[in-house]
Amino acid sequence: MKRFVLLQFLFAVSLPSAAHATGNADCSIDEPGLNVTFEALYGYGGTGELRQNHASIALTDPKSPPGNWTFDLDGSALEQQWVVGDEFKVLLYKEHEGADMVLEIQARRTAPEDIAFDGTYRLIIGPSDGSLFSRAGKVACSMG
Amino acid sequence: MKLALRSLAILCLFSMPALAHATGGVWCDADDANLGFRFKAVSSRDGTGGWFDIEGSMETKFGKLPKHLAKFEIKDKNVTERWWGREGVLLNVQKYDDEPFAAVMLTVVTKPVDEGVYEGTYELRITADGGDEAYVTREGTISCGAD
Repeated sequence: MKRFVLLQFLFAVSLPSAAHATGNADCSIDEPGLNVTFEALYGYGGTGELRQNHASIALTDPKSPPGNWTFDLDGSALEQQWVVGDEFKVLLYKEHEGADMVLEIQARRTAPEDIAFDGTYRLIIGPSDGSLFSRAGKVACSMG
Repeated sequence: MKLALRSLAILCLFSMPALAHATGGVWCDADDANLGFRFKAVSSRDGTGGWFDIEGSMETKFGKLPKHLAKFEIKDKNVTERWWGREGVLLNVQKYDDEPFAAVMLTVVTKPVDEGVYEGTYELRITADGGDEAYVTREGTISCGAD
């Protein structure tokens, strides 16, 4: 009976009711010319559906397109996500300064059961003046 | 014209299949002893990632789920994880009741095997109220496509 109760509990916390139990997911990029923070809540358990996500981008790269590239993204910018097991992937999109901006973050858990994730980002801005801007680098995330 | 060039440029950077139109699709199908699954969505081909007009159905053929969880039409809100990229098509579809708690969750992981063709596996987990199959995980194979 004890075993059954334990099993019931394990399934309960690993299935979607766990949406009520949330953790914090955040990522940061801190490089010359680019600072990004991404924050969200996620449900514990088998799926890490992100909620209340928010990102702040400060792109000061001298090669960036003309305009003010310090701006925020709300939850509507989250176009794709895969936060399952040891993988953390998000794809954010926003039209800004007349251009299409895509930020893709892909990270993996650094060690079993660790809250730290390491990975890479790609930032691409569609041509607002006939040119295309992109850069890529490393990103650090955590889910705790 | 400007929009088309913009889309094409981003498309190339994301190494998506070279396609001429702004939107394409993602779809998956599985039909075996445990699962009947039909899914499709319109997706952007320009690397911006949006999925639209999600539709399909999911039938869990085992266990004692309530009827509305055992078989349901898939809506956007049921697709809690979605990814189409160089790695493949990845999906998580779920539906649940709070009281009494019952849930079904399908996780699909596929990899590209040919241009626009993805093959992989699914994991289907249910929890329901009582019975021998109240808490069960079943696995199988699944095919997806995207263009």
